[in-house]
Amino acid sequence: MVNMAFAGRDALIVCPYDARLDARVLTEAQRTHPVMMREGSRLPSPRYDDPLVVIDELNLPLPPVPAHAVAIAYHGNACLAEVRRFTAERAAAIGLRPGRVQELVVAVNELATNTLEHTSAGGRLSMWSEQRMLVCQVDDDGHVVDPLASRVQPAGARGHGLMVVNRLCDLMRVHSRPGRTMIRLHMLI
Amino acid sequence: MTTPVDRLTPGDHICWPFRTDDERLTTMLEFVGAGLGAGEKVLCFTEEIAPRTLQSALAERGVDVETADALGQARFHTADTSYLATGRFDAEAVLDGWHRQLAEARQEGYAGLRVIADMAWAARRPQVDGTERLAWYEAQASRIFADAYATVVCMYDQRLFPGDRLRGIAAAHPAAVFPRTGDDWHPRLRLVRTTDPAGLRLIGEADRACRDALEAVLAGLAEDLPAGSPATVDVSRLAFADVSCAAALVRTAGALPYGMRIVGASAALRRLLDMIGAEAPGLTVLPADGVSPAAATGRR
Repeated sequence: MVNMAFAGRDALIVCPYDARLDARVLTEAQRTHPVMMREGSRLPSPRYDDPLVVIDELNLPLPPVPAHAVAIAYHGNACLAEVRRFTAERAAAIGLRPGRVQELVVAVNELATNTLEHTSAGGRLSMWSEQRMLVCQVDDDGHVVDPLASRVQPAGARGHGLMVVNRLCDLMRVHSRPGRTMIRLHMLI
Repeated sequence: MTTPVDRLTPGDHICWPFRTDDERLTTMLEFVGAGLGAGEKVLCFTEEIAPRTLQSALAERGVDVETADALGQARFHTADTSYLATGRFDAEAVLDGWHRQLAEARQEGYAGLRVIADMAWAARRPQVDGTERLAWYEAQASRIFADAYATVVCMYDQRLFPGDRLRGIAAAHPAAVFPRTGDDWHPRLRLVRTTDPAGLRLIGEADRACRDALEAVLAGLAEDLPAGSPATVDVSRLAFADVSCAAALVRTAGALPYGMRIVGASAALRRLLDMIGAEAPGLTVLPADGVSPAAATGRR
């Protein structure tokens, strides 16, 4: 994704890798870096691969939502208020502090809004806690085509949705393929 | 028992989808009765129920509709004599008509204007030119009614309007009475233009359900507010604002000749404005207490 985000820009990015690292990590690094520097000399990476191919390979389904998660299905604009109420109540009960609850509500509302914008079937919101984190996931039958959608600031005043969600949360994970999108948000408690 | 009609106040422009003839009749009777009871002028646009039938049903409920009619306090119209008076749906002409109706009612000294309209004509006569602009028209009407004088209910028969079309129409109203509405219903969003300071007050929650109404009212501020000072947008009673609301505020600030001051933003909204519009021209964000702009812009 770094390759795509910086494509066509005047930037030099050097990522030092310790040669004693696991061989798999080093092989992967050769796939994701177009140029290798070793003992002062620059060589094209023999294993460099199209970023979209690598991203697609790593676009794996997220671990399943635990059975003890609380969940709510939503469908239609009228449900958004209910989604927000559910998020605020459950997040507070899990122990997220009030300021963070409000940010989570904005993030979840945005994901649910995206569902309504891009699908006709509605979606499902689940929430649970995991170690010291609140985790919630939105599932729908849409497809987020652009892997950079939540990573790069758009130029105009539109299309900020996923970027804002990503910045509001401590970690955002996405798995999307045609007919299926799951987006998981993590907030430290 | 309270009904949504009891929760309405001047400035509301409500989309009211319904499923049964009974619900249509009850809502119209309650609304007209409440308006006349409050001494407001009432305009009733009826389509599937004949004006005469409606008047006698009102009389049966003990509403003195005859006197109201004679005094000009109540007026009953059909689409043919109003929306479609020109033989087509001329959205601009109808919007101009609302400006005149508001001015007239004010001039006559009424405390407010109540409007209820059965919009069935727009579905019953799809061949009529201009009905495809209904959602645009409703969003523009939200601008006109945002001056806290008129209480407006637009009734949409769900048996006539397909769900997709109705969703777009509903989003052009600040609030809708959705089916299965409970006793705790209140308008999701209220948009009230203010004169001192010149601007707009947002009350309630701004999300996708009212997006087009909000965007139209914001985009119209340049024209609807007196020139010469920044627009003050009071969000101290806005309990929730989504990303697209924040983006619309940023866009509007940039388009207004004297910019925009946002007063009373919650921490969450300040964060959104900061992410989307930190460098936006024309935008000043003041904290909830309304002082110390430098400390309050949320810039980190």
